[in-house]
Amino acid sequence: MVAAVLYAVGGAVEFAHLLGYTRKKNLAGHTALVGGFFQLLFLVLLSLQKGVFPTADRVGVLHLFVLCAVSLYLATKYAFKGGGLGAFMLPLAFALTITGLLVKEGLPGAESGRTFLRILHGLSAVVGCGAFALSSTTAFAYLVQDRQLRQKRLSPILKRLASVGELDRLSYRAMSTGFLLFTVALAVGLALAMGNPEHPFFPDWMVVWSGVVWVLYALLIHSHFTASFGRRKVAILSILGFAITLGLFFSLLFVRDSLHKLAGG
Amino acid sequence: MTMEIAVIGINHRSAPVDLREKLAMPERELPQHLQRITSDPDISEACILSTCNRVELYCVVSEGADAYAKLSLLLARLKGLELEAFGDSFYFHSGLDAVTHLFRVASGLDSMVLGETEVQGQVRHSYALAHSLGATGRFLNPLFQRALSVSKRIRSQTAISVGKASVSSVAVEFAKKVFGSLSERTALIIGVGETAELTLKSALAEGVRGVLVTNRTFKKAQELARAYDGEAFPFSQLAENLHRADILISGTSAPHFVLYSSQLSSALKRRRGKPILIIDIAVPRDIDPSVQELEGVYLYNIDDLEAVVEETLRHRQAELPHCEAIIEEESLEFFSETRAYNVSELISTLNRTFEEIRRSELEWLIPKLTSLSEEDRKRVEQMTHRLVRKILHCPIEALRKYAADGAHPSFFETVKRLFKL
Repeated sequence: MVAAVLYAVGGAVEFAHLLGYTRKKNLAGHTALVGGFFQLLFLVLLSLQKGVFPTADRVGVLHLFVLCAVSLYLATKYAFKGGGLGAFMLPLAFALTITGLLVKEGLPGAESGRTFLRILHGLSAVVGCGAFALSSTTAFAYLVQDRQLRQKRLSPILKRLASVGELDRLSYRAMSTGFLLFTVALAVGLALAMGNPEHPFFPDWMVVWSGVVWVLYALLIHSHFTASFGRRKVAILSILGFAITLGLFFSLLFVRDSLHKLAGG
Repeated sequence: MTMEIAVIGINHRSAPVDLREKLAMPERELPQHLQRITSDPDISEACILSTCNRVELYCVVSEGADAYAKLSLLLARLKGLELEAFGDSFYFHSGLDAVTHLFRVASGLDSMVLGETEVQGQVRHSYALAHSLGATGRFLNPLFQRALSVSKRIRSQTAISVGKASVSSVAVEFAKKVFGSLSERTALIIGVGETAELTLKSALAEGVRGVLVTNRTFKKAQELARAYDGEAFPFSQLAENLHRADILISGTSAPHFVLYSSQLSSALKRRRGKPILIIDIAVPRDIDPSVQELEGVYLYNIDDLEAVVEETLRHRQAELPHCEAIIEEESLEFFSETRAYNVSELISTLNRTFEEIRRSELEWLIPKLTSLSEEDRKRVEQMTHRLVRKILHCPIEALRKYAADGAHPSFFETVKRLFKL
């Protein structure tokens, strides 16, 4: 709860900074950092309670996903000086953390059968989704900044948000990182499914959906690299891509009818 | 003799540029001018502020002397000019008005571009120079130090310097919001106009690396390219070179468009989606406005840039009452402090005079009172001391109060005459 409140405060502060109501440009980052620390603490306590780390319980997975996204945002903020991104990322982190607080825990069965490959599969998928979250919020910031530039006014948002060039580069890097991790997750997941003859992995809906997400991001990265789509189209599609990924993520957490055990109860 | 702070000068409002440049004083001339000014028996301190928009002489002069006549003549003669050449171009302020004037100048409120920050550095530099030459002292040192701190306060507590106030700086700001750092960028100049060159200079100051120049007259393009260590190409090769430019600055005098959407879209393909910023400062416009429909093209014409400048200046104008209130508060406070400082000399002279009277009277009395013991003699001395102190207590308090309230100098002159100080 503390983390959610801190993310909300951080997001509000960054938004106020973008609109020119405050000059405290680092406050959002510091607030998010403290929020992230509390979320990590919560995850550690939850894992201790379950006896495994990281916990594969859906509450834990949801919090881990938010923590990954926030950590990537903080790394971007401090390493690449991605100004103003908190106004878009932290509200998302707040909403997802609140969702994590509202959902029920999964069945204890979700924690069973943990192997290195399963952990690698889960972690790479969650961190990859975190990178997609960063990519989509950066893409959203890109669209906002592009609009500001076309309005031809030196508004507070234009002055305080990073340049379209920087936002485009950040979004592309986050997308590539997410894609790489998501590919690892899919490959490992494929290997795990093939090793289990009781569960045919195709035509499982989750596998198909994952494949759609993978193909979409592969197309986006290719089109960005070859400049076959405009940057604005890529930004819009990466937001759409994240919406589809988020749909997949929540379906895995809550829908029982799939290869996945995360759906639990 | 009481001294007071005075300023005389000309600026962009009081005199045309041809008159200002006649009076302009390059830095190398300042030492000799300051020496000549301070050698005048009526002037104890001096500082010259010479910028492209103003030439001002701040000094400490004897009160009562016809400071305006003296200083205007001195300033004109410093440059070997006749006073008549300046007509009524000189403005003059003394006392509180001089303090207020310097505070306004240092804060950019008296500048051509309201709120500009460059003048603060120029004031600091002029003061540092005069100080190093020993031309400033107990009046001008605190005045200039206070002016710089007032300027800092105004810039931090108001929005008088917020925003970009020139076409070239606005263009560069937009460029930074398209590309981030400009250090790896290349600018292409079409035409060799003055505003285009100014914009290029601003971009180069922000780190733009490559410069490409093209012009209908190729020779002029080569000259400009040489001046900025760039590369010139004939105007006929514009389409082939467009893709090399990240920032395109166009300022030709062509009566028609020189760049169309079709030319730019093929250049964009070669740029592999990288954005391009176009600054069209020509009137009539050089760039077909439909190019801004292309993705990755950000087009700004002279009207767009001037609208931003006007908006900035409008916002700065709205801050003016707040700035003026700070200046009034600070100058009154400073003036009161210097008056209090000034009066402390008067008080010590008053004390010294009365002490001398007391001692001389005691020296007359004591030898006559032969029957006094050593202890009685000390008591008499003590009594006279207390008497003088009590007599002077009320006048001294009144002097301090009037000085703090900024009483007219004639009041202190009267006190001096009363006691023959």
